[in-house]
Amino acid sequence: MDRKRLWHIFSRGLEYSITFFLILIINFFIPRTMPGGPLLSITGSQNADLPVVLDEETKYELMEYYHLNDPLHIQFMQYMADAAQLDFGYSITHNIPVLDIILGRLPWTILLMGSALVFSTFFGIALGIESGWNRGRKLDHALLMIMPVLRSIPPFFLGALMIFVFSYRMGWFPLSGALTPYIDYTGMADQVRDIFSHLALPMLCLAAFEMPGTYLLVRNVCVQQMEKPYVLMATARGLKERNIKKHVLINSTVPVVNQIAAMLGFLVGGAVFIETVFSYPGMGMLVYNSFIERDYPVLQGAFIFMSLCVLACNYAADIACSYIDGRAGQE
Amino acid sequence: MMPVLDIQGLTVDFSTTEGIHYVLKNVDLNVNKGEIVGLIGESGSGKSTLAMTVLDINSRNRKRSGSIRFMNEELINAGTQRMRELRGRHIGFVPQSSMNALNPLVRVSKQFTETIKDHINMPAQQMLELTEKTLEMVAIDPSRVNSFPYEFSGGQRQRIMIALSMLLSPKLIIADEPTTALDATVQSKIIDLLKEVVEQKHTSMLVISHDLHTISRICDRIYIMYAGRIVETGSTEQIMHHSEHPYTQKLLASRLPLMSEHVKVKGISGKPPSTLMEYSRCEFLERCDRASVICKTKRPPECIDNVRVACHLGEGT
Repeated sequence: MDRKRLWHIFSRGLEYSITFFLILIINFFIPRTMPGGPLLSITGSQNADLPVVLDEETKYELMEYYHLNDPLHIQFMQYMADAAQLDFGYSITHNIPVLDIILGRLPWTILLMGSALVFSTFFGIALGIESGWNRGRKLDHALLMIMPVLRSIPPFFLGALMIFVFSYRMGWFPLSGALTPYIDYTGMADQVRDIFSHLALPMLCLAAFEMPGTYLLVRNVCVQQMEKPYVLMATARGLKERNIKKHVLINSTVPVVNQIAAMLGFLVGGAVFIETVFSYPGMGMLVYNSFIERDYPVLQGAFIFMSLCVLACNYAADIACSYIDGRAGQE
Repeated sequence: MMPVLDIQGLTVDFSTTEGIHYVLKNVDLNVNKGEIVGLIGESGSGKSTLAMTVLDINSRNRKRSGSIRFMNEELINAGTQRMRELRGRHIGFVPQSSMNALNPLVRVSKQFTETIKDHINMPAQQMLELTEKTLEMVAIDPSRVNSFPYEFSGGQRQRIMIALSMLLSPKLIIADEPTTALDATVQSKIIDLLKEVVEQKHTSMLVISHDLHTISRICDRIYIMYAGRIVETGSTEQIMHHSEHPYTQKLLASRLPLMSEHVKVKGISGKPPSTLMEYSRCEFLERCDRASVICKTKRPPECIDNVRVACHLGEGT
C-alpha cells in the first residue's frame, strides 16, 4: 500500500518534470518565432523619431556578446545550462539579473496570494458547507444570491472602489504600495502593522473574487455527498450533527484541494489587475510593466517561475489527495 | 409481554412536486423481545420508509400520524435530540447499501469509536477493545480494524455494518434488505449471522426484505406488505405453509425452483398501484385472480388486533 503510494508520487513527479521540460523548450522558441529581434529591441524601430543607427561591426559584436550568432541548438544548450543555474539573463530596462528582480517581487506576491487564498478558502469552505447542509433554506438562498454577484464585479473595479471609499474618503488604509516609503520603523510590530495595512485592501479584493468559486464548488460537492448512503448511515447510528458534517467535509476535500491548486496558478496571473490597481510590487505588476517595456528576459523568467509554481502546486495537491483518499492512483 | 417496538396506525405521506405520495397506510406492526420479525414486500411497497420513519431519518417533506412506541416510549413526538440519542444506542440499523454505508475515506476503527463516543463516555482503549470484540463476533479479523472500508469485500463490509449496528447492544436492530447486494452464497451466511447476533446480544430484530424465502429461515413472525399496507401477518409457519392472502400465495409461488428443469417461473403480473392516490378499494385488485365485485367497491379489512389477513375473502380461503 505504501509502496504503491510512493510509486504513484514518483510517477506523477516524473510526469510533471516532463511537462516542465516542455515548458522550458516552448519558452525558448516562442520569443524566437516572434517578429522583430533582439537588435530591434535595443535599437528601436528605424521609423522612430530618433533611430539608433549601429554599424555592422557593432551589430556583430552585440550578436556575438549575446551568443545570437550561434546555431539554434547551441543557443538552446546554453539556455538550458543557464536555466539549470537559475540564470535568466539581465533585464533590458533595469539592467540587473532577472533572478534578482523576480526574487525581489516573489515574497510580495506570495504574501498577497497566500493570504487571499487562505482567507477565501476558509470562508468559501465554511459558507459552502453551511449552505449545502441547509440546502433550500433562507441562508442558502441568500448566499446563492450574493456569491455570483460578488464574482461578477471586475476585481479592478472593486479595487478602485475600495481605494476610493476606504483609503481616500475614510483614510483607513494607505492608497498604494506594499510599504510606506522612506519610513523608519520603531520596531518589528510597527513594520508588521505597516505591511498588513497595505495588504488588507488588495487581499480582500482578491479574496472576494476567489471566494465565490470555492463556495459554489464546496456547496455542490456537499449537496452531492449528502445524498450518499454513508451520510444516511452516519445519521442512523446517531452521530452528532457536527460529526456528520465532518464526514461530509472529508469527502469534499479532494475536489477542493485540486481546485485550490488550480487557482494558485491563476492567482499569479489574476493578481495582475489587483496589483496594478493597488500598485502592489508583486509578480503581476512585474509582468504588466515588462510587457509595456517589452522586457523579454524578465517576461521569460517570470513565465518560467509561474509555470513552476503551477506545476509545483498541482504536484503538491496530487500528493495531498493520495494521502486523503488512499484509492487515488491505485486503479 | 411488552413489545420492544409497537407501531399502531402509522400513516406516512410525502409531499413532492408530483403531488402527495401515500406511502404507509394505517400500519400495525410489533416486535417482541428476542423476536426476529420479517417485513416482506416488493420494492416501492413502503418497507424501507417504515424503517426510516421509526428512526426518523426521512423527515424531509414527510407527514406522519399514528403511534410508534419503542420500549413504551412514544417516538412520534420524541424530538430530534431524543431521537439522536436513541439511534445507534438503542436502535441499531443495518442499511440497504452496505457497500457505501461506510465513509470511504475514514478508517473502520474511527467510524466505530466515533459512534461510541457520541453516545457514551468510555476511555479510548476500552472503545478500541469493544470495537475489536464486536468485529470478532462477525468474523472480521480484529487486526484489520485500522483498514479503510474499500479494503474489504462486499460480504465483509456487510458484516462490518452488522457489527456497527450491534456495537452498543441496542434493544432493537432494524436490518433493511441486509442481503440484497450480496451474492447467494454470502447471503445465507449473513442471514445466519443475524440470527446469531440476536441470540448472543439478547436483542430483537426487524428484518426487511423482498425475498420471502431467504428471510423466512430465521424469522419468528412475518408481515407481508403491499402498497403501504400490511396485507397478511402470522407466524413463519402460517405464512409459509398456510398463507391466505392472494398476494402472499403469489409471492410463494414465484420462487425459483431448485431441482425441476422445465418449469416456467411464475412471477406476479402487473405493476404495484401508484402511491399518488388514495384508494377506496382493494389495492391488489388488478393483479388478483380471485377478485370479486366487493373488492372493487369496498376496502378489505385491516390487519389490526386479531385480523391476520387483509382480504375480503377472509381467513380460510
